Amino acid sequence: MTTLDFPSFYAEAKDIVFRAVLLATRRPDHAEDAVADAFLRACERWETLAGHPNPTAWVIRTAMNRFISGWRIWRREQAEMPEIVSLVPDEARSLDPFLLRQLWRLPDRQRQVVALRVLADLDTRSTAAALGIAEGTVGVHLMRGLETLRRALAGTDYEEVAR
Amino acid sequence: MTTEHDDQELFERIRRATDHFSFERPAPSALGLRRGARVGRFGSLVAAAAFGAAVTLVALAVLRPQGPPTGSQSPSPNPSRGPVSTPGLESPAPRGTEVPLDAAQRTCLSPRPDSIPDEWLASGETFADINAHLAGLPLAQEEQRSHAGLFVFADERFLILCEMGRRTDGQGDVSIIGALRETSGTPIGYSGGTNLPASIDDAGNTYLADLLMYGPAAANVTRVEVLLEDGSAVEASLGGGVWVGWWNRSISAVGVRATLDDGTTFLLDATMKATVLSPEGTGAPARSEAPAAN
Repeated sequence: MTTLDFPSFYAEAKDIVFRAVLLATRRPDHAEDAVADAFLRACERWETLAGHPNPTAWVIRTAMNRFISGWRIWRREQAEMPEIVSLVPDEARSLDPFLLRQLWRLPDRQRQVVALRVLADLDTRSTAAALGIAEGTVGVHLMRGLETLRRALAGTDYEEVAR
Repeated sequence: MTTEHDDQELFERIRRATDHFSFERPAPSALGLRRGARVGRFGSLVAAAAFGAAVTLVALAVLRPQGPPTGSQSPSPNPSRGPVSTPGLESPAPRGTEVPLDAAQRTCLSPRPDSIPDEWLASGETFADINAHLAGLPLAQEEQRSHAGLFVFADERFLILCEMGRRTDGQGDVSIIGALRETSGTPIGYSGGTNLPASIDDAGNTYLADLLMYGPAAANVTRVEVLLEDGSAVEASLGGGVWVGWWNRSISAVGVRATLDDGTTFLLDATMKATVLSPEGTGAPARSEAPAAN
């Protein structure tokens, strides 16, 4: 249970939530909207949410629900938006662009589980709830995702870089 | 065989690889975080004129005894007194000036190959299949007001909400919300809402924000009202199993009330803060009406 006020919670959680939702969705603009919407809902409900055992998990789940249910606003002017799923945003700024590309290429479920379990540090139960899958499935996807990443990294200086 | 230590090393490396991503939007308690990203400019001279009407209407509302709901979700007897429902601030569109349905269909149901999320695809489906499906969505609701027309296209699977500016026939003046259909175990549910921020045109005319909320409605719902924090209410459009409330005043919603066919009412704890944002691109200061967070 947290005793933070909302501004402190927001400052502490916003980047963690965004990274997890961004990697899970691979759509920077939609991820921003979903995260913004989720934090707004958290702000509106902070009196009760402050007593939640893991408000960060709540915000991530809300953001993922918003994304998956398809809440989005299209504008006619943006009908010709470029394909963005295959592009890694800000790749050049990453401290590990090779790994970032591999993360981006993971199958959806593996990528989503890695995002929530690793980046957001959610436990298996919270991850399963956020993604609407069984807890046992979370472990399977995490294992497969990590295996995929290890294979991709096998030819790199993984051990050296990891230190 | 990998160990827990190996996992932790890889976890740490994954975190480093994504550490440069940061969320830069202001906290909702500071500026009133906007919902949704890109929004339409639904302004017109009529909207500017409506601002004066809004001030008048708000002033009247202050004088009226009010009892906004607490947001509980229990059915309650039909109250004898309550917020006065108004069909939005805007007046209906003058006859003959409505946004044509065929224009709405062309604009709102046009293909969006890059905007359809993967999650919308059923097994074996392609984006082309979804686009073809969306193109044939039947009209569920239509409401014409002086500054815009609202069209709701829906079937059992998808929902398209489309608000088109009247003066421009939709050119550059359209907001479209695409979503999967949701159901609710209660008479009405809340799927989403958005603040469409104020904007300013080249002539310096400023336009009020539109606000919109929507959700599923059961077959026995005969009326839906969005209850605003000033004690007034906006009557939502209802049809096709969907309710849509939209209003042209920067006033937060404190709940949604459904009237059922047996005369009882149902209060849904769905709230949305109204925000008035800086007109895009003008450098004008933003003004927030969202109350500070705890």
